Order: sequence, then C-alpha cells, then structure tokens
Amino acid sequence: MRIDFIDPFLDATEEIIREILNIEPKRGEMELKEQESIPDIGVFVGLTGQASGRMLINFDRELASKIIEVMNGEQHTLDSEMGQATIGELGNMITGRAITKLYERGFHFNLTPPSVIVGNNVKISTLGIETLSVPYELEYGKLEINISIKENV
Amino acid sequence: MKIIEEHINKKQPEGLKPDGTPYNILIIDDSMFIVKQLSQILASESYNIIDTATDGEEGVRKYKELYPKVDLVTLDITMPKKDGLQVLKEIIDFDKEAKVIIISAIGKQDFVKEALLLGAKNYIVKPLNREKVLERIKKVLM
Repeated sequence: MRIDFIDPFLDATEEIIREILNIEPKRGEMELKEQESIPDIGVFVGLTGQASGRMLINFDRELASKIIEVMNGEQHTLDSEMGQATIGELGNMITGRAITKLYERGFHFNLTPPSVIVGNNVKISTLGIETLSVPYELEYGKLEINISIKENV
Repeated sequence: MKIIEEHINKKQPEGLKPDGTPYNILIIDDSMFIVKQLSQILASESYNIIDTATDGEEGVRKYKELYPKVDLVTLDITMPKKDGLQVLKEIIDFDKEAKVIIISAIGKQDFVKEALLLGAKNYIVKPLNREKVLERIKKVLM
C-alpha cells in the first residue's frame, strides 16, 4: 500500500475531530494488521476509483456515545437508528475530506455510503489486503483508523 | 412609537416569501442525521420541508410529483441507487429552472465543477453549520 495514501486519511480524521468535538486527538503508533475487528462500534466506507479498498473507523462505546450527544445536541443510544446514522455521518465526513485531499495530490477516489456495525469483537476478513491501523487517544475514549487500499492496475 | 419601531426592527424569517408563505424545500439525503440537522436549521427560519427522500431514485420521483411546488432542493452526492450528480442531471432535464444546492462531505474540485456545470446553484461541503447553510440558501433564493 502506498504510504502517500495514508496521510490524507489521518489529517482528515484529526481535522474533523477537532471541528466537531473541539478536542485534540493524540495520534498513536501505526501498526500493520492482518486481521481486522470491531470491538464495539465501527463504520465502514468503501473506496473506489484509481485504487480500491475501505476505511474502517472503530470507536469505543464511551467515545461513540459522546460523539452522538455532541453532534445531535441530545443523547441517542448506540442501538438507535439515529445513533448509528450519526456515527455513519461522521465516517462519511472523514472519508469525504480525505478523498478531497487525495484529489489535491492527484489521486482520484470515490466513496460508497457508510455502513455502521455495532457488535462485540466482530472479526472481519481482510480479503488479502493489508490493513494499516492507527490508534487515537481522545479525552472521551479511543478511536482507531484502519485503512486497506489496493491499487488498481 | 416604540411598538412601531419594534415592528420595523423585527426581522422577517428568511424562510418566508414576501407574501408570507414559506419557501418549500425538498431534502434528498440518505443520512438520517443530515436530514434532521438540515430540518432543524431550516425550520428555525420558517422554511417548509415539503418532503425528504433517502435515495436518488426517490428524490427524482418526488421532485417530479411535487412540481412546481418545490422552491429549492438540497442534494447529497454519495447515495444508494442513484448518485447525486445523476439526480441533478435528471432534475435539470425535467425543469431547467430548478434550484439545487449540493450538500456533500466531498469537496473535490472535479465534483464541484461538474455539479455547477450540470446546473447546481451552490455547493456546500460538510460538516454543516447553521450560518453557512442559511447564507447559501438565501443567496440562491434571492
């Protein structure tokens, strides 16, 4: 996976977190993973175009609840449609910002609508594509960005 | 005298036409979150949400059914069934006077350019805030 695909996703994540939650995300160490999983709640967005792949953003329950509360101005549960729509929209905004940045660097991507998964340590097959994973520490909990991209040749 | 001044200074909500009836807005967006956020922003200025559609096909169908009552459409790009740029094209083909504002998380210049060339009147990149949304809509309706 090309490393220059990754930075725009991390920058977009950090910008959107700052804009929406008004807090400073602390970036952890990048790690290469062979198995993806969703410990609590995750949002998937598919990437198509010049390369194909997906981005999975994981949230722990406390952080997801806080994001839902801040974005709506009121609380909704993680199991409610509105709670999940809110997390899905955050995923859409982060990936939308990321592919806008990629476009400025000359890479053409498009997105699929987001899918939200709420579960308990759900395992996901990686279809043989390596995943780069970056954890973030936030005031309200943990977030993890997972990016798998395969260049189309 | 004070009452008259208060009456003059009291701003007419932006969502009302000079005749006092509200502008009718059709929201086409697959995100329940965005539909709610937009509805709240628009209702606060007395705009009327005439209907909402959660995918592209439904959006085109509702625009045609409601014609000529819709004053403005807010349109998402990344949607199931039919994407927003195709929806825009079909709405403009049907009604070249249609006022459509794109609302998307994607701000890529090629998308913005294509949307404006196809006839969109404005393009708002998410996240949304109240001032930005109201200012752009007011400008398009003027």
